[in-house]
Amino acid sequence: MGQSNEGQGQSRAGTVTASEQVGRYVCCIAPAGGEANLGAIGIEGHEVYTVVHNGLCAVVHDCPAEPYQSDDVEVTTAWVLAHHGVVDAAWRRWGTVLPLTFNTIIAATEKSAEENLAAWLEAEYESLKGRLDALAGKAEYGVQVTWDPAIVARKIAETSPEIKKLEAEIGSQPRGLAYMYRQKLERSLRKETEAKGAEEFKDLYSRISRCVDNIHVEKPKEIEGERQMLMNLSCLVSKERCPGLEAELNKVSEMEGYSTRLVGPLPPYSFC
Amino acid sequence: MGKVVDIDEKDLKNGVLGLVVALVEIIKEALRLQAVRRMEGGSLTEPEIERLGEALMDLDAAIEKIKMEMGIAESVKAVRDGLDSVVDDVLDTMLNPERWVRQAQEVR
Repeated sequence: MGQSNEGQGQSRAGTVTASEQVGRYVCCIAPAGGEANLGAIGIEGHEVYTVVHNGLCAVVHDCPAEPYQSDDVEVTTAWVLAHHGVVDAAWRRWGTVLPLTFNTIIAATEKSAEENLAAWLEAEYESLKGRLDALAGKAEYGVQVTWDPAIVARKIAETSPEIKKLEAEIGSQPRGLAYMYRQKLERSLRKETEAKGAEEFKDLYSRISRCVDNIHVEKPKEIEGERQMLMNLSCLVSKERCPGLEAELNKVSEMEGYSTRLVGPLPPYSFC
Repeated sequence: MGKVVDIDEKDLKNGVLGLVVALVEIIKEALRLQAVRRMEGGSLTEPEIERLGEALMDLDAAIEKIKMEMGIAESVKAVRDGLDSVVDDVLDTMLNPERWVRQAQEVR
């Protein structure tokens, strides 16, 4: 986020100390909205309010002029959840938001944090406005496709002539030879299943990308049991295109051995 | 003597045995892959393939027997899953530099 992570300014040099709430923690930017108070939903229960400047609306709360840091996972988890909660609330309220990174803090320098925030909104106006416009009316969806390679491999074994031939040969051989040929068969089957997976990935990717506005390929997650995650996508989708995406995913779920999961709508974290 | 580090002897035995057997399994799989490749390459006679196959089968059976008798199937699996995920991460980073860069930026 470019210049969003402001330094700690001169908070220690001047008369103010870190314990005073001299910083402004910026959760997200919304398009022109009025002055509003979102309640005590910020990190550590700070009051969340908006700072309106030049047609942009920063959703902020007061904070110490230094980053939130802790070695305690429970503490940091609570902070990140609070950050997400604010972004989510703003997103429900204004429909479009530009979420900022955790720990985006505007500190006071010789000027107050409020003035620095206004200056930052001023300087970054074009970039922020452009990105907000690009996100207008759109939400992020997580799309996950899983498959059962065993089911797919069984189907390949039923149709592949090479594998059928190997299977026929194995039956009549002594046990050492049969074992080796069985290994060979499993190897070819595995190769064909992998090739099928790569092919399916391309096919599904192009089908899904036709239904969405933007797409990021994420790392597939490990899942318990025999199933594997074939693809894990973050998709940016406009409201009117959402039913199309759902319909496409339903078609995929109908294929034997495949299932899909659609998570969302979420604020557009992966596209801001 | 100062304070003695408290190690459960049974846990330690299971852990070390699990690691050893996991390594033996990996070596066995490498051997098997080489054997299949040579068979496919046509450099082995039929009696040789038969002997190789029998030897590998015996090795399979011996490893399974050890795992069962020592009750270490779980710890072998844990070692192998751990290794798999390390390799996965390294490969993923090499194959998808763009995502890696993006994730690094998100963390900042």
